[in-house]
Parts: sequence; structure tokens; C-alpha cells
Amino acid sequence: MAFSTIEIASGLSKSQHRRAALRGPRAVVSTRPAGRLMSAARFTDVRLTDVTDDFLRTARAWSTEFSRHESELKRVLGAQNWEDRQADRAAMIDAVEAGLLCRYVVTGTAR
Amino acid sequence: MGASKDEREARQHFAERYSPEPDDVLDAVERAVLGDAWGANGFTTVAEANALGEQAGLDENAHLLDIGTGRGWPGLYLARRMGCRATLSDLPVEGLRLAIDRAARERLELTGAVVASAKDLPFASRSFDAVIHTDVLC
Repeated sequence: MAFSTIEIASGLSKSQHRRAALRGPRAVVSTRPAGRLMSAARFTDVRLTDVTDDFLRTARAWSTEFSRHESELKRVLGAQNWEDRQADRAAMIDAVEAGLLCRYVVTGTAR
Repeated sequence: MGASKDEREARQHFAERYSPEPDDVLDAVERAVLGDAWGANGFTTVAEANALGEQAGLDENAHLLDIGTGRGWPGLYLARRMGCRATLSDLPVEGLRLAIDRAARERLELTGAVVASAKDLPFASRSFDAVIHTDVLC
């Protein structure tokens, strides 16, 4: 199995954790750390690679490209949809920059 | 098993997200951000998809399951790149419909497109050689 996942960073205060949960993807609060989940599910050779820098770069690229093509995208998606997505993205970027959210690629072998 | 409240809300959210038909500007934006256009709107770039495919050990003999595939990214892309068979699963049927269309256009061996929760997949154990998912747990 190979997958990517966004997680709330470890070692946060309660208020930081709440902020990360609000600004992250929909279900980021509901997961245990991926490495622990894999081990609990008895996967072997579990490896985690931190790809947070790439995550941030890609999130910023979405924001930049959405701005660059604002009028065309508003025509296709609707103005409110465009604005909502940009706002969600900006909040997520803030959270990653503040060290509240991380992204990992996880691999493991089923027994 | 009935869908949980979270699943119903996620299904509604992503059904709306996947509803716009493919459009040149959406493709152009996706290519600029991720490196190719497969109807994706997440954070998995082509480079990362390539790495996932290699780490999952995919080759032309493999049968891949892509969970939470949306419109088929990266499962269909990996089927084309690695020559493997792919089965896709997700909750919003809107995305799967577009994935089926794309698989037909690309002449890929799509062995299934299944509406299913990741918590309750309708497959026997060891049906697949590799399983991938991108930003589904979160």
C-alpha cells in the first residue's frame, strides 16, 4: 500500500490543534497518525516520508493559478465556488506555514 | 452498512466538486499545478504519483486499486504509465462517471469503477497487488 495523507502536526497546544483542525481538510481531526494506523493494521516495513514542503508548494501553485485564471474559472465554477476554494486554500496555506499541518507519503506491506 | 454522517457530507461536498464538466481552463490550471490534467484538484503531483507507483511495485502484470479516486487520479494515470489494470473506488458517482469516460478515451484496462466507502469495500482479501490512495484518510 502506498498513500499520501495530511495530518495535524504533533506537539501542538490545544488552540493550535483547533486552528489546524479548522484550516485543514475535512476529516483531518478524525485520524490517528498514519504510521500508527499502519502498524495497528499489521502492515510491515512501514515508511513515512515528510512531503510537507511539496504540499505547500502545490497549495500555493493552486492559489496562484486560480488567481491568474480568475475570470475564466468563475465562469466555469461560479464566483462563490471560486471564492470559497481560494479562501479554504489560503487558510490551509497559513496553517502549513505556521507548522500546524504536515503531509506524508506512507508505504507498507500487508502481511 | 449505511453511510455515516461524515461520509454523506463528504459525498455531497465532492459531488459538487466533481460536477463541472472537463473544461480547457480547468485542464490548463491542473497541468500548471500538478503536471498533467486528469480532473484532479488535490496535492498529488505527477512526480509524486510516479513515486507512489514505483513504491507500490506496479508493473504491467499488476492489478491496482485506487481508493477515493475522484475522477480517476492517480489510478488511471498509473494504469497508463505502468501498464497495469486498475479498479477505482469512491463515494461520489459523478467523479467515477468521468473516470470511466477517461479510461475509455485512453483505452485503459479499467477493471471496475465502484461506488463504495473506504471503510466497507466490496472486494475479497488479496484481490489486488497494490492499493493506493491520496489524501483520503484526511
